[in-house]
Amino acid sequence: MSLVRRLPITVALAATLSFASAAHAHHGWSWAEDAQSELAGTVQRVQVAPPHPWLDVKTAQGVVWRVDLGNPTQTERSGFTESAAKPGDAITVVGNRDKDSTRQRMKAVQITVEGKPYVMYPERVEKR
Amino acid sequence: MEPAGFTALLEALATVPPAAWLARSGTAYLMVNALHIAALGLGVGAAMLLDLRLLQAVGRQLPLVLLGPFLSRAAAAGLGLAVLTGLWLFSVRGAEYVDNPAFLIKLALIGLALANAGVMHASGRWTASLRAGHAGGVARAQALLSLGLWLGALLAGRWIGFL
Repeated sequence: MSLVRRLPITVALAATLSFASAAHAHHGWSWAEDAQSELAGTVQRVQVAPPHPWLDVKTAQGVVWRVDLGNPTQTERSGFTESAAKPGDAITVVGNRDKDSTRQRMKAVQITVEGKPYVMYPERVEKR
Repeated sequence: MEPAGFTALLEALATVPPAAWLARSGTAYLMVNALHIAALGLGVGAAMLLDLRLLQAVGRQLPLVLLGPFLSRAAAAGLGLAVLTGLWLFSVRGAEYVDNPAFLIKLALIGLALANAGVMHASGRWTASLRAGHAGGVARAQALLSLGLWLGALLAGRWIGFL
């Protein structure tokens, strides 16, 4: 194939791949704020069943937040299992809140339950 | 049955061995999920091809008397397997799914699509279309409705994970 035909195809392919990898990096986070924040409270409910594990966390103000953990494999990799947290346990969550401030929803990057840390997304942990 | 009792029933369902096993095994879950999608791919695909053929948008050269029963049976087989795998997936967290508007809409659309197909058969329009080799006005309207309902159900199904 001549260079004239190869070049536009290469450019198109490169553009598609870069878009795809950027989209992959952002997969599942598009509804969340860019900046990370912290949430502290007590565990209300634990759900580790597929398709996507989550926790309900009640803050000191009595507000219940839905905290999305990693997918089942990522959650398991973090060491977090169904027995790792029970209602009443103290928990802090570092992650990204919903851009819609009327919703109490958060995507966890890292959670700490009764002092024990579980990292859901190691590549997203921010150095402090 | 009062709402609280129904939720308790769904939570009990999640503890039954097939549901509990699927909840625990990440690999099994993704396989049943993939099977559910393959089944609805076959089912919805065949149904849509049949609807498009009835609307004479595709395959006009292919006799309806041959294509009709073939696609109809393929649709039934695919949708049947989709329902079975769907029930299994549902059992894992039923109480949550019934709280999900997209899931409820999906069920409603599937119900309407099946009812539409049922009317097509019960009214005699299906047999008449096969005999005539083409669909009359009402049958074509039902085919168009069917297209919309199945596509809607598919969209609602995908939306479940985004609510």
